[in-house]
Amino acid sequence: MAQTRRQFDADFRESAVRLVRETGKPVAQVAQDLGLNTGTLRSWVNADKRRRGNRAGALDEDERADLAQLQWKDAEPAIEPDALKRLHGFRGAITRARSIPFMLTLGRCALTLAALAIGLLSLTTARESAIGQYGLIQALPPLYFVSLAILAISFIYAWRSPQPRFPELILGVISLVVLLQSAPAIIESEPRFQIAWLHAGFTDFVAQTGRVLPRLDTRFSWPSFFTGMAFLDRAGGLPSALILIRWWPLFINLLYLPPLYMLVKLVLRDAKKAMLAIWLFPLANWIGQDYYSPQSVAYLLYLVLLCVVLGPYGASRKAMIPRLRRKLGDNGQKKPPDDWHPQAPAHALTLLLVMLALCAAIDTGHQLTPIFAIATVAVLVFFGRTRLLAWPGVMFLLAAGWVCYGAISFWIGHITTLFGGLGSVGGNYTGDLHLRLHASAAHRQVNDVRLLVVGVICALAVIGFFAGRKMRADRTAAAVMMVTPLVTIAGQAYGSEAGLRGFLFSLPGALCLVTMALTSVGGPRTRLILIGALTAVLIPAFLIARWGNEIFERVLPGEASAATALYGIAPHGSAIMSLANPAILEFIDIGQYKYLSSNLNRLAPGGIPSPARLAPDLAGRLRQNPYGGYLIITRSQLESARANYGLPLSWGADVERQLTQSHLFRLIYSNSASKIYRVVEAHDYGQPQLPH
Amino acid sequence: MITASHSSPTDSEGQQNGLRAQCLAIGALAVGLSTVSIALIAASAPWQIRFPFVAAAALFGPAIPALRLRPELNLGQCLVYGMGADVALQMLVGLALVLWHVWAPVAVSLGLLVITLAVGLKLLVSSARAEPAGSEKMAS
Repeated sequence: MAQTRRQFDADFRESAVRLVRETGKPVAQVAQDLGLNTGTLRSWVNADKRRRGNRAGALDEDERADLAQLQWKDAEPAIEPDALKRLHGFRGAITRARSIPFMLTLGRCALTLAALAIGLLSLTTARESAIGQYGLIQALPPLYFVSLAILAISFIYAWRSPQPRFPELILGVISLVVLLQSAPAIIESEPRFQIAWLHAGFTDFVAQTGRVLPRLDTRFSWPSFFTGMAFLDRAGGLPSALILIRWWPLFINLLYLPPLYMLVKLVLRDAKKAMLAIWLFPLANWIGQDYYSPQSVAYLLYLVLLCVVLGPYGASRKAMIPRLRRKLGDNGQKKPPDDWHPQAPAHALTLLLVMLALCAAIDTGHQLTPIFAIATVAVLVFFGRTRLLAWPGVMFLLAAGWVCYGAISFWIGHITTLFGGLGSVGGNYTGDLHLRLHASAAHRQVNDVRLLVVGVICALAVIGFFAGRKMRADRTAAAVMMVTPLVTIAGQAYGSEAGLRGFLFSLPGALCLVTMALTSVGGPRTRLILIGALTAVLIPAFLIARWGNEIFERVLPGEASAATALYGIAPHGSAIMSLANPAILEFIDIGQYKYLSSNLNRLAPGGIPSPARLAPDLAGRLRQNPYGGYLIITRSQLESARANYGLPLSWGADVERQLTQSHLFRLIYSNSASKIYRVVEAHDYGQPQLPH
Repeated sequence: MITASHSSPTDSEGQQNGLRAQCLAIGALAVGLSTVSIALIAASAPWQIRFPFVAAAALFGPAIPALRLRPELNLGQCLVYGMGADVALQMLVGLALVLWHVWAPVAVSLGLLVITLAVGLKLLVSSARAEPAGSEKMAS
């Protein structure tokens, strides 16, 4: 088979040789990291040695650069121009000169750590009560923004240096993730997000009983996240999974970094550029699927899966559709490295087991992630980016097998949910759009910021796709990873939430293309300005887009205590209803109660019924349950109704007044953030009333 | 177990030494984490101490040390694939226990920790048996 000879430009050769020379790593290892043939790299290294030997005594480029820095930095006043000249040829002086970049690195690391410390300390001074219609950003102290600015400057300064050190860059990224993700965990007195409480309740139920309840909730039809966490909780002696939910987003975002770095490095084929993409990820990921949830872990497994697909099994030389590839301008020079194959049977078996475990966990853990994973791998196969030609079929069979076996109680009643979206492409992209029409002005602005982030990332990705034509990076793989999840949304009926998920899954590919755009346009100074500008835009945009709904996505202490009290009051078998979403329910004894929906969300397009109509409707539904019914109203629900449906805050008071005046409900618990009503039965025996 | 791929003698030595160091570090970590976790579970230690060790051991083993037994994979691949496989393993083992109605998480978790311990020990033994590359030259 004829093979196309790969060509490398001088910059790349020089970078590869410098990597060998300065890191002291074996040639074979560097070659493998860069996807090169070992012999090729060795010949470059030998040629470099010969070249350097011919001019022994003279300074090489790095040494000259170090000397220039020496001249530019603190050493400048101490060394006279004549003395500087005398440094030529003296290795001791060169060593001293080399220590200056190292000191600079230490200085930048200290700056990063100082920014982290300042940011975290400033968060402890923030007031939770300051959270308003624009979310957490209103409660963040000015010092927090200063710390983020210092962190950004430190990272960009480190990134632009000719020889950036990996630890300082990764320290910058980790610090960014810690600062961004720990803000609500430190400021808010209760762990945020009601759905996380529910998932913790599911986990506790599995941990206590060893059972799942697929008929209670769809999520139990894909239970492996809950079973895995329950397994771990019991082994670790954890009394409740609620303990985990406060810091889960930080933990899972830190876990994303290694596979994400590996993935973007495989695509960009440049460690420095990969680090830039990793820097942008926490800033662009405002989607908020990283709370304690099955999808947060499924996304981690998805990233690892892509690392295997494009790593050991990447670099297929067999184009599925060579003509299309030629049309796309993807000639042989840009083919991924194909120097190493997992040919040993034991090695292939090891990778196969890893992939099977990943796919099985994804398929049994979350309903949407397998769709994105199968589609992305299939399109990567289609464009010849992986040699795993049969793997999409295997993944499909695994997913279908689980749906037919484990999720049977779900799909029997939800055929339209599974396949109803086929053919209604527009509806799938614009689902729940009506909510935006009724939303409050502040909520609409938060949504606009979210769209702005998506728009900026997508626009830069498009630029990157075209600007990256001459780069070594695999822009086809990046484009596939970006576009496929977005297109996949067309095939399901999950509503606009799937659009958010699609953006999340497209982010790794999109950020590769964004990095291509940022590193290929203009000169070094222009690139630096662009990177700085993008960071400056994304930091506040993230804080608004990610935490903009905090007014109703946080959990107030009064809400948590009311929900706990409700489970103490309500006897097993009784029905529990919340006036609106979100509500922290189903986190205690989940199998013992019947949960009813107020259908307020469904009523929204046609207008929320008046409080006078609402009370009899709610009471009628609760009375159908023979064991009694309870209605819980919290401040977060009212804030959500105001933000999503544009209802006035007085609406809540009206509802409460109507509930009381209708004599259909009796107030049995009240605190500053919540009220609990019990529906009055015809044969009402009364319930003990808790002290306020 | 520890072999070097095609490369010059110097590269091969460096690679072997690097691999040996990785095996030692990962093996020691696997043995340490699993031993401490087993001890804490056996002693029914409070969750504030027990959970961090058990969670770290579950995230680290048995896949990361097991993958380090394969010389074809580099350190990054071992860590990333191993972490993913360990998370998947926890999920699937928990699911299997639920589906088969044998909910004994502590016992099965101890089994996984013992496997991690065994793999860690194997790594340590194999790296201890392998002569440090270049030691002959040093001796001569």
